Amino acid sequence: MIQRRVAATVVVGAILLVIGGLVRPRSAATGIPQGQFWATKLSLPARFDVVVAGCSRVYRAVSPAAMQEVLPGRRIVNFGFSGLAYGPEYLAAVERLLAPDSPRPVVVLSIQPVNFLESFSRKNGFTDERRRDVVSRWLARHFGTAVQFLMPWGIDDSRQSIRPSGVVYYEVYHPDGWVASRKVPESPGEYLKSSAMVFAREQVSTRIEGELFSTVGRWVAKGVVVIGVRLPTSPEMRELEDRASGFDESTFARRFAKEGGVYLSYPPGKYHSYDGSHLRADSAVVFSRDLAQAIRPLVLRERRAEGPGRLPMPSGPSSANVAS
Amino acid sequence: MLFNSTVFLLFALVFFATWRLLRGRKKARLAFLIVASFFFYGWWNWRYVFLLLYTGLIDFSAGLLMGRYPARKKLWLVLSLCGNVGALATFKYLGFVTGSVNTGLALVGWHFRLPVYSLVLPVGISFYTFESLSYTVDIYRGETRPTRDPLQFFSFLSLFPHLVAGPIIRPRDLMPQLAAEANPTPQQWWDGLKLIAQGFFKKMVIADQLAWLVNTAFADTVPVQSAPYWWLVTTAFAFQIYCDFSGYTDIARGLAKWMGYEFPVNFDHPYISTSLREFWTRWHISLSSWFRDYVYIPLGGSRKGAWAGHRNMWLTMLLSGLWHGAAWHFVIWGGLHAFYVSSERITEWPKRLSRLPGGRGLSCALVTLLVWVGWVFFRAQSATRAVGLLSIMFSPSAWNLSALAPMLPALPFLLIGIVWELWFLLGLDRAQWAQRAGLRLEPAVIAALLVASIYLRGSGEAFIYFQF
Repeated sequence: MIQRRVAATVVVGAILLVIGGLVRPRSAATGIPQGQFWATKLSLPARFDVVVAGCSRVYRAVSPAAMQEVLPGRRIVNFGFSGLAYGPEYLAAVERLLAPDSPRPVVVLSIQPVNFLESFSRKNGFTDERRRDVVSRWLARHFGTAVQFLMPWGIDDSRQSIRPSGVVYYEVYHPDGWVASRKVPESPGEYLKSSAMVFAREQVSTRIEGELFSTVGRWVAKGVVVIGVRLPTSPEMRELEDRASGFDESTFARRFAKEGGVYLSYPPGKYHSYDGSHLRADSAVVFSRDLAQAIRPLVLRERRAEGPGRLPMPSGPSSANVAS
Repeated sequence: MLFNSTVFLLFALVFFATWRLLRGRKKARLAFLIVASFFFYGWWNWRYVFLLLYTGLIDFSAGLLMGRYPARKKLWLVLSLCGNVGALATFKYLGFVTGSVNTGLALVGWHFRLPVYSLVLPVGISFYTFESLSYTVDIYRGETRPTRDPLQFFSFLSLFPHLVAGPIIRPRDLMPQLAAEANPTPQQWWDGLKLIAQGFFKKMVIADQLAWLVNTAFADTVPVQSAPYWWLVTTAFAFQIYCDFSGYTDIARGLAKWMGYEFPVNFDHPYISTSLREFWTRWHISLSSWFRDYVYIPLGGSRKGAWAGHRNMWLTMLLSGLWHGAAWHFVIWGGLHAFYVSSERITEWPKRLSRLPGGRGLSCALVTLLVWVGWVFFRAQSATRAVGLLSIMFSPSAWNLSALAPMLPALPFLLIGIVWELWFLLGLDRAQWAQRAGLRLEPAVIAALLVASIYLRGSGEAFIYFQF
């Protein structure tokens, strides 16, 4: 009797499992499965010449493939994670990605106020991914499609499939760490309100800034080229960040350069943002090429004992360096 | 290791396969159980395995010494209490005590400050310390005989399903089961499956889907100025913590059944209680009864008169609050419940209310309201914040509904929890048609609960009671 019940449970469960996976509300995300995308990022080997690090603005704005068009032969990876603020574990993970045999190791760090918020440093996409158990990560890396099939139904996806709002978020997850993104229709003010709320309760942390400066100094002393980039965003977002976050860009740039880093600041408005914060895929490609062009003189030079503060200035966006 | 993790699924698969292979070899089974349980515990942080070992060795030795030198059993008990409470005090309360002393000194104008240490709290320390303590206390009282078998003792202490979040099992309930050959019957297997499916659904679907709403609301340093918003958040938290903890217990009981053991019921639909006294016989039963048997009754219970009874109950409740967390808002939560129970004893309002038409429902609603107020103190990060939130909840000018829109996605999950409790409040679980249908539909329901736990699962939070 019990055996028959167990058998019935298994059969019904299997049927429901298949049906559940098949009728799952479709999201507009394509490319490699999301679970595989994040798990792979965390288990990348030390084989890169250029590591681009930071928050979602980085993983949506920087296409390593587009950068490689300008920097042929350089191994580039996008190591961005959602809501990231810099902490020692993340910076150590960035450093571990640099190839020991790289002729010119380069780290490109996104510099946005959110990268220096205490609450974001405690919980972000990187810390969440690290907290996942090793078995889940291993399964996500090697059985990405099956794991994707068993992923939970997103509440938004379910709501969309019942009553479509007309808003579609297209995302393409690339193995090099870039997420090509666009939203139809666009919502230019989407992030302004939430960002204003974040800055109302929290200002940038001088502790996190200080830790980053000392890391930059240490990396530069090791011969790593460190580039800080204030990424382009919408003018409204830049204005909000400058006014409300407590981030003093000119002081930051000076300190960054003093440690031997190169600081680049991209003016807002030149590239197109679909939600007031992140770049649309086509703009991201253009920006990636521009960024690669700007840092090209730094990247293509051979490693030599230049010491901190002797790095050449790139041309293009406004920049700061001790040498200038 | 979390029950709701992939690594646990793998662990359980290997464990139960080996458990079955070791059938008929009792010693080997217990040895394997201890190794597996220590592995389960050490997965979180292997260093704290030594703390578990330390607690176990103290009480195993104390038990043996009490058996061998009964004339000095008080001494062995005191040593055991010092060892256990000392470890708990060091890891859980040291920072709280030194911090409170410093605050107190500053208030009276002294500028001397004790160094404040904040150690990482070992998972489940409050649970296994209480279990271990009950072993020596029961031997002292003559209610349990000391075991000479370390395998049996450490199996009792470390048995992985209940190790980190209970239920808190007494030695007299579990030791005899460990002494016998445990082979699950087919019915135990089936009942275990039902409990596991129910537990996963409660935890992964209801509790975890409500978690984002609750966490987001309490993370805001400037609270939303809307009374309905906070009532809804508090209701969500009430069901989050209930489903989280009772879900854990269900899974623990189910796993125990698959091993051939029986754990006691820990939650019995607490939100259908019609008095606070009843609430405490339905909520975290194993902890409430532990405090009753090892604190309240030894203090004298209500044997020495009504006022002594009130005093003892207050002490027990305050200690229970402190057990939940080393912070004043937990103590206030315990004190608030002591106040509720005292008022109830004096006025006997539930009895009076139940005589009115619809009185049972009214009592239930009133108990719910009081428990919800308590939950605000429990969940808020400080007593000051809790008072601030309660002032919004009871403010007539804060009745705006505009803040409710972002909460809508979580509502279906909250409704499932509410309907589930109403089902029992209305006694539908006892209706013959429901029982007949339940029996017939059981396989489909279990399958549906398990599949829902996959596709409707929330953010995969750790169990709330791990922090206690």
